[in-house]
Amino acid sequence: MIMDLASTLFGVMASAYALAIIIPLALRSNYTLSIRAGLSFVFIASLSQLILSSTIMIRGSSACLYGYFCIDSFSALFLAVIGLAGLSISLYGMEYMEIYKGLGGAWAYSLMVSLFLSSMAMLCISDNLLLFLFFWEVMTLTSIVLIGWEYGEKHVVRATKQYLYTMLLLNSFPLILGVSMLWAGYGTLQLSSLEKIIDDRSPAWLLSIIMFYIAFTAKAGLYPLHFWLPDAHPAAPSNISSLLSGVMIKMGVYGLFGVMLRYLHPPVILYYLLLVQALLSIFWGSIKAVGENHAKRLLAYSSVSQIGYILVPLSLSAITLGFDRVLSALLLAAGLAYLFAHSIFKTLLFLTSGCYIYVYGSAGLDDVANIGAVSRTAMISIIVGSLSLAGLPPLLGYIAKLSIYASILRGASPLYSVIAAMVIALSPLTLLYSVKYMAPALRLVEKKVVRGRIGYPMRAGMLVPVVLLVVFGLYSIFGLFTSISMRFYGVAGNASVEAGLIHIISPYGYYFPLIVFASIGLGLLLGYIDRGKDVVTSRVWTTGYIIPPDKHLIRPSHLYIEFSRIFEPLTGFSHEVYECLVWRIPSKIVYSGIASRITRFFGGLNTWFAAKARGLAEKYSGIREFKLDELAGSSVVAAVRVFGNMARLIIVSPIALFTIALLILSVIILVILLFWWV
Amino acid sequence: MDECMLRTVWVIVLILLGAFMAPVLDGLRRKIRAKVQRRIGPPLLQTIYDLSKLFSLQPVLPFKNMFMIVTPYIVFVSMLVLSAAVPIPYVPGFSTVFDAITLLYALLFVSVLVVLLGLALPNPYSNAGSAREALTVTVFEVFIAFTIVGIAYKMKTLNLYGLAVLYGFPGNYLRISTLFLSASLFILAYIESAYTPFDMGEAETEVLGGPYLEFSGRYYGLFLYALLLKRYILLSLPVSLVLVSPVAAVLRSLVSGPLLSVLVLGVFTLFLLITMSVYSVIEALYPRYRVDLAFKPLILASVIPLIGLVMGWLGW
Repeated sequence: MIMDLASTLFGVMASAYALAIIIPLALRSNYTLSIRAGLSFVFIASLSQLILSSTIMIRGSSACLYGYFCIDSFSALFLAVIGLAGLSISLYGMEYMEIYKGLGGAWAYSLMVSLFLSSMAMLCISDNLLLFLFFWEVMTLTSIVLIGWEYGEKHVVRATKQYLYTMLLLNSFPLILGVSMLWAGYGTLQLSSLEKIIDDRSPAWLLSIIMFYIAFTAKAGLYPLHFWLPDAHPAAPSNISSLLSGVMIKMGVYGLFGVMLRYLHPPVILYYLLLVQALLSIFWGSIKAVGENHAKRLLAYSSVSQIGYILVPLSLSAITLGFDRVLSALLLAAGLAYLFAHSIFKTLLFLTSGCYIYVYGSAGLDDVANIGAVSRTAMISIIVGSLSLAGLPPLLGYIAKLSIYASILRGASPLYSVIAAMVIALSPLTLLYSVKYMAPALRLVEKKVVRGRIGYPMRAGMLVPVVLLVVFGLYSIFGLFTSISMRFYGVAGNASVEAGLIHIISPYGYYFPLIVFASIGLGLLLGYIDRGKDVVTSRVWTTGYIIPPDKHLIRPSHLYIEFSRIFEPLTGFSHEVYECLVWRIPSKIVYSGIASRITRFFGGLNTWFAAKARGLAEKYSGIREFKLDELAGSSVVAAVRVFGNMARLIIVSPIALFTIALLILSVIILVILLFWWV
Repeated sequence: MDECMLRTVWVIVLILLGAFMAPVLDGLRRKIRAKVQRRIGPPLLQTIYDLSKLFSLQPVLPFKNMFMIVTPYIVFVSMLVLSAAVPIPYVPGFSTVFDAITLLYALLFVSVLVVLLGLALPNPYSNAGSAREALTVTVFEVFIAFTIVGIAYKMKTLNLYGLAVLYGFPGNYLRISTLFLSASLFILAYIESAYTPFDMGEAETEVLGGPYLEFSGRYYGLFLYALLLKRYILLSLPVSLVLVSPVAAVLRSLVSGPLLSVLVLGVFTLFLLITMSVYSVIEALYPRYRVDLAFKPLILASVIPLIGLVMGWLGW
């Protein structure tokens, strides 16, 4: 029965994603209609995906479809995360994409969104590494197009290029290499059969593990491979930024655990490395976010730090697996709970940053004020999202953060208490930047407003995550995550483990949000009864002097300057290093050196051909009798022009050059490896 | 009387105790500070008179904004409810379902509301006070983290009620690590309560009360009451764990049932007053830190719980 339901829902999902590509194409003459039609189908697809995944998670069953796709409760969690984000961003985008009306291409947008979401969904459920690789590449390519959507802006082009090169070098290349090594070594790419035959000694195994590790940590935006993230995520339209930060970086987590840990038996030392990287990520992302003055960049840096919070318990879980299964399952559950919570509130927060852009025309924190006057929904969303991000009660973010602390503190050895101390000590940095994000929206000062109203689609898109954050804050679903983690480690049904887990999770303060909610509700009620009927209003008190408010106020960009200054030498130095490694040296050698020379050559060739053809055409065009030739001559000119431009575009643009170089390199290595084995 | 009923009664008793003790402790603080400074000082119940005066005044606000009107109520009600979570051994209030991290995060939540309000107002003093408050909280978190982790490692629980009972058992109490952790608890309560060397956020003489500057009448009264309640809750942590818990461990062998709870509550109140007196003397002796100089002592203080934590690992 579950198989029938699963295949039906899967069919609905796939056809809705397909319709989201086709229908906007038919309606492409009308931008608004085309966007709305496409996103409606994305909404339907997300909904069916959500129903499918929640059925599987709650029932604890698994379903295999068409031999290559297997959905178990672990991948269903990721499906649910994608589905939830898809719901909000599709609703939100129906109105928000009006900003980009001038750019056109509504059908292309729908196509990319649909492909992006569906490829992420498919890679989570594919049981075959080749399919996994294929969908991974589709995800990367569509995300490149979506990040570069505002192609006229200089910073967007730069961010897109950087994202592209990084992904080719640190994602596609290692993944292709890793998969081909596994193929060369074991002759199969079916994950479930690979799990049984893989042996922990062979060089193919070791090299593929290392390659996968690089690819997945780079995609997750983990320190030190995070440098592309703060530029790339803010460059996209806000609802796409939501997807990038809320969902796409979790695909790296899925790769690290759903593929590597589950099937490939990686060595434990790798997860110690992951733990260190995660802690560094928390620290680095937080201090950079505290110093940011642009809403979307702040959120992007916060993603770098939050992925650290997700990976600390998860990597500890992999480390603990060898000696304490109960604790390991608990840690995994805590990490998954945080992953779930983060995807919801980060989706919401990027949508609210879109509100900043929509209403004030800018996401600079100093350009924003008192959004409550424009839309109360936006204000509530900002408060709820930021409080969740800070991990403050009574919202889902708090439950998730408490789960992390509680599970880490359960560990008996000093290692766990050191990690717990670090995580707890770093958490108020999150508080600092979430206050910085939230405060400008509440500031009771006047700012220039571009659009005075936020419509229903955008509000509905934001309300979905708000409701989820509140409801899951009240009604803890931690039990669901423990059941997923127990099934993941194959300890479900083991009575002693289950009893141990229940014993561990029950004493912690999950009742507490109810109490805080009740007190907030009572406070709201009292405030409503009060309503300030007898309040007298007067000027703001500035010790009797009349100070122009714009001169002496502490603006959001002034906040924490003294704090950021402490870390300035560190951040400045690292910025220089990254600029050099990622941007300056490659651009000297590849982009401006080799590529530009080839471009110039082809450009010259193009001009020469065109001139010759034009000359030919001009020579004969004067004679009326040769009308036919004139026609032929102009078409030659056109053809040569098109050919020259295409040659320049396709063959010599640095992007293509890079790809070709990587492909050649990977083929060479593949051949060497094949010879080695033969 | 069944379990649920009994707990409800205790919750109400604890809320009433908090609501009464918070202003009385402040009165005591003002009295003792005056004595140290060779003044006569206000009467013990002066803070209660102040509060009742504030509640009767007509409020003046710069804007008639719902956010400004609702927030004081939320802050006050949350604090009042949290005062039922103070951990007192054998007095089962909300502490049976709360843990230490939760309590500190709830206090943080209330601070954040106040900070946000301060940043929302177009007043440079409120803004400055809020920014200072946020930074102080952040920097001090290192200390809190070490203390919590140290206690969790030592006592194997973070449930507040469990801690209050277990802390005083001879096996836990008479250790060097516990000594350091107890000292850290006292320091934590002092600094988090923003007593004088550390009151950079409000700093009456510099930023005119910081986030609270624009509030008057009952709204300021609510904020003030909430602040006093917060100080009471924080003070109850070291008092209950370090001072009351060992006494309760002895009393447990002599009496039981509701009588034990009432006796422990009496001991708790007594120790609260004594500890407050000591704090007041310290407060009267020190001037406020300059904001940029305060970070160093706040960070350096973390050495104390760190020693406690390391000794806990060594089993001392």
